[in-house]
Amino acid sequence: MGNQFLEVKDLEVVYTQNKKMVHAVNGVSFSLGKGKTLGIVGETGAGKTTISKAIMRILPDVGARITNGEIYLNGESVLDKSEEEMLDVRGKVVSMIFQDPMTALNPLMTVGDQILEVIELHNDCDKKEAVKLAGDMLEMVGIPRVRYKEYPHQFSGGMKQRVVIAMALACNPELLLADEPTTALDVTVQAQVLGLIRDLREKYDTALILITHDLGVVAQTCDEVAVIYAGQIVEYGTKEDLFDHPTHPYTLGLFGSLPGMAEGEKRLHSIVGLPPDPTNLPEGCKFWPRCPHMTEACKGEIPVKHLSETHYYRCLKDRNPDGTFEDQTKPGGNENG
Amino acid sequence: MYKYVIKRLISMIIIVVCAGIIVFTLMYLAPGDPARLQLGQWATEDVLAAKRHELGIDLPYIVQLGKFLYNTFLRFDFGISWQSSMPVMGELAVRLPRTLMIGIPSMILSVVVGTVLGIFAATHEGRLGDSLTMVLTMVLVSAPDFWVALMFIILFAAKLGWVPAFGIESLKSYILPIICSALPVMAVNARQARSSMLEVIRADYITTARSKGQKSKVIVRRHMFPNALMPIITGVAGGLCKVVAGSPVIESVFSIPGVGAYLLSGVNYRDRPVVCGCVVFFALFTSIVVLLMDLCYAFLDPRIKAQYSK
Ligand SMILES: Nc1ncnc2c1ncn2[C@@H]1O[C@H](COP(=O)(O)OP(=O)(O)OP(=O)(O)O)[C@@H](O)[C@H]1O
Ligand SMILES: [Mg+2]
Repeated sequence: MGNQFLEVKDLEVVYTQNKKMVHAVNGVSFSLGKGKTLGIVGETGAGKTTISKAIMRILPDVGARITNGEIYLNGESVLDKSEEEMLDVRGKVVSMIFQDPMTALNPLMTVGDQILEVIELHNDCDKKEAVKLAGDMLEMVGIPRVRYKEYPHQFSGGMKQRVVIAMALACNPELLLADEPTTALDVTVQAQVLGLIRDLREKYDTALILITHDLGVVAQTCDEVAVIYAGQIVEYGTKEDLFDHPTHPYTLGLFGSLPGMAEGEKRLHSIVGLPPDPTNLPEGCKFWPRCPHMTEACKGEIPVKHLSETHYYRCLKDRNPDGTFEDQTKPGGNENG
Repeated sequence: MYKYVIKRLISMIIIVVCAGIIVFTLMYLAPGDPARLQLGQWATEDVLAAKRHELGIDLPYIVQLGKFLYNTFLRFDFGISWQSSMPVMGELAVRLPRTLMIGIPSMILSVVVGTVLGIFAATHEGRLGDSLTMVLTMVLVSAPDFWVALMFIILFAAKLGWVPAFGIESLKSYILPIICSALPVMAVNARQARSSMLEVIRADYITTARSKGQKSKVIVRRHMFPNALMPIITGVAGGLCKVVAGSPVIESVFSIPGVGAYLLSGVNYRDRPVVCGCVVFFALFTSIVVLLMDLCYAFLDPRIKAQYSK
């Protein structure tokens, strides 16, 4: 099953909170080859972190459930593995850089020991060698080895993020899930950290899923891009597909006035209105309440339309050759009255 | 670090002296004439006056207070009980071991069982084991201790005859008091341990630890437990403070002549040296425990240690 390195099929994740069902991920499918980079973009709460945690099976034991879907890694089904088998996958085959460096480290353990932990779990070497390796990792992310015995509170946010990165890369994973690895950092450090990740990817041919809000980063780093809205991929394609022919109204909104992207806007645009309530998602297209091209038909089945081998989007409307939509009805037409 | 300890020791002395002044003043202001309480209703005014002079309570407040502070804190003498004419210090020394015989095992029991139960409940959140633990601890927290003690006496002493119902003749007679005073504290500890573990379970660094491929048993031991330990230690220290004070209720129900019962009778007879002596002793012990607790925090948490050594 599956010829790609990572395949995710129809993934659905539900959180239960105060007796309510939070539909965080609603049928996400994608695949990723060795050494390739997939960018995931989308607003806050779209389910990006949830997808990554599902791939590693580190969603909370209580209150989170993968209700549907399949995940294949190297052709093996991740969801069918036992917890024990997963222990050998986590940290070694797949590892994750977490979104918030301020809380991702154990405050009572030295940073060195926290890196050491993952090395000892997956490398067959004695303690001394492992300690040396952990020190090497620190130096690799630009932290002097002498700070091995310091605690997270003695580190700045950017340095903590580097420690998290060192931990994620310590065992040369085949797949790295980087969840907004640079959001917490200032601009100069951002560039360094991204450079670091890129170097490592080239060195070890690591596949990378990069979650980010930064279109500049996507443009520089990613091969393919998935745009996520309310737990669904609304548009997927190569970087060129998305930057040159953004098609879904949500993508268009996010990317804003895209031409001139290279030097101009780097951050995602914000779109009028709020993301939908994940406990009570709209029928049909999840985006219709905010969509300028909304029609009554948008509340029904939404087909996935392929524009090319690599490029698809999820919308009723067909794209005109000039990139605009053919509106059968004016936005806010009277049929919803 | 040692600078911090010295600072704390100085403030500790101030606190204990203040506690002494407050309890002395309260006893001074308490209604009731100690002389009449001792000599009975029909004692004549002359006899009463002589007794008051003997006890030294005819002197002005400030003089009495001064004498009390001088004797207590400079000569380490708690005085002589008005009721029994025995030195308070000696009486405390006799009674304290009995109280500790109940207090220490009961504290160990409540801390160990409570913490283990709490961790069990937290790691089984929402499942049957968790619900049962929570119901059980709720019952134990809310059941009045004298009632539990009486029920235990009826069942284990009267009906089954496994242990004596009261007294301190054999070691066996300590079993029921130990269990009775451990149960409510154990329940509180269990709930505390559960809630602080639950807070830690949701922490991001636990997800990080899982993402490394660490076994869940090791995660509980190495990452969760140390982080959940602070509130648990606070609970333990609270329990430890109560150990020397004993429980007047439990000691009365089981007729154990311990410190708690001593303080209770002291209050009943307006026996000022007894009450003041007990309270100063408790205050001293409590502040030592609190200091040790804070040092424990610093030992466990590098952030707190960093604050102290500034
Ligand atoms: N432990 C949880 N319990 C309940 N709901 C959760 C939990 N974690 C996430 N959610 C909900 O699931 C949805 C998706 O969350 P997720 O963290 O995956 O979003 P995200 O795309 O990573 O957002 P951000 O860009 O802010 O990181 C949100 O609506 C969020 O409120
Ligand atoms: Mg996120």
